[in-house]
Amino acid sequence: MSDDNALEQIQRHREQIDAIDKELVALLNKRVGHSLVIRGLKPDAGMGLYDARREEEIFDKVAALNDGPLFNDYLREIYATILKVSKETPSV
Amino acid sequence: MSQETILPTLPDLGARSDEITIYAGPCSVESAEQFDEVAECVKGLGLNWVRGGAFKPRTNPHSFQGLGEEALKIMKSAGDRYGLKTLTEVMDSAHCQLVADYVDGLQVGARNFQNFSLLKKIGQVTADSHQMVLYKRGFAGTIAEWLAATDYITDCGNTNVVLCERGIRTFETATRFTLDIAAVPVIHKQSLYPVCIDVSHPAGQRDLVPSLAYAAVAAGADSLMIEVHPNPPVALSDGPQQLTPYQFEELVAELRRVAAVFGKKIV
Repeated sequence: MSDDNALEQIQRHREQIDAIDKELVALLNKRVGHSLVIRGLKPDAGMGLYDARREEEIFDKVAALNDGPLFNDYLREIYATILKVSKETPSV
Repeated sequence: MSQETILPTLPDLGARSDEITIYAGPCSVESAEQFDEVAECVKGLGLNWVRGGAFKPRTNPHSFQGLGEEALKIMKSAGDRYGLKTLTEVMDSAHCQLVADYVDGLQVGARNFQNFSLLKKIGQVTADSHQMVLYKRGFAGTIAEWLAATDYITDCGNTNVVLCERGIRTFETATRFTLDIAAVPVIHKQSLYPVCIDVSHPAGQRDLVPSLAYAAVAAGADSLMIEVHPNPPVALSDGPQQLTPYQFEELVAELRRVAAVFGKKIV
C-alpha cells in the first residue's frame, strides 16, 4: 500500500466523520432541547434537575444498545459529559 | 450559533426560602452548664435550633472524642427546657437509632461523606420520623458525588435533607478549608434540597466568620451553621473558630440586616 493510497483512505474516512459529526451536532442539540423542556416541567412535578436514578437508567440503556467497538465504560464517559453539559447549560 | 434562546434576565438562584435558619452551638458538648449557656443565648435571639457535638470525629484518636450518650442527654434536656430543636452528628451506623431518639436533627459529617452504609442506615432510621438530616460535603467531594449519594438517605422515604457546604481542600492554607460558595446556586439549580453553609470550619479562625456568613446569606444559603462556645480558649475542640455568645449576638444582629436586603428573615 503506497503512502498516497493511505492518505486518500484517511481523507475518505475523515469526510465520513465530518458527515457523522454534522448529524451528531444536530442530534445533540435535539437531545438538549428535550432536556431543557423537561427542566422547565420538573419543578411542577416536585423533581430536582439532577436525578441520580435517571442518569443510571440512561447509562444502562445506552450500554444495552452498544455493539462496539466502543467499550461500555467509554460510552458511559461520553454520556456523563452529555448529561453534565445538559445540567450546566443555563436555562436563560 | 443562534443566541435567540438567551433571555434578558438571569434567574435568582438564591431565592428558595424567605427564612434563613441558624444552627448554632458548641463544637463539642462539654457539660450541661456549657451547653445551657449557649442554648440560653440562642433562645434569647429568637432562634430555633441549637447544635452540639456528642460523638467527635477527631483526626487524632487521643484527642477528646466527645461525651457520647451523656452529651445527647444534655442536649435533649436543654432542648426541652428552652424549646429549641437539637442537631448533632452521628458517626456510626450502630448509634443512629440512639441519636435519633434524643435529638431532632441528625448530621452526617464531612469525614463520613462516602460512608454509604451510614447514609443508608440514617435513611432507614428516619424513614418514618422524617427527622432532618444535615448532610455535609466531604472536603474532597464533588457536588455530583454529593447529590448522587443523597439518594442513599432518601431512598427509604425521608427527603428532609439539608446539604451542608463546609469548605473543601485546595492549595490555599490561609483558611482551614476553602469555602465553595458556588455550591449554593449550583445545588439550588440542580436539586430541590436546601443548602446550609457551615461558616466556622472553612474559616478556622473566628475573625473570618462574619465575612463568610454575610457571603453565605448573599449567595442565598437557606441555613448557616455557626459554632459558639461560652469560653472558646478552654474549648475541648476547635477553640479558635468558635465565637463567644456576645460575638454571636452581634453577628446575628448584623446578619438580620443583611438578610433583610434580600427580603429574608433569620430564624
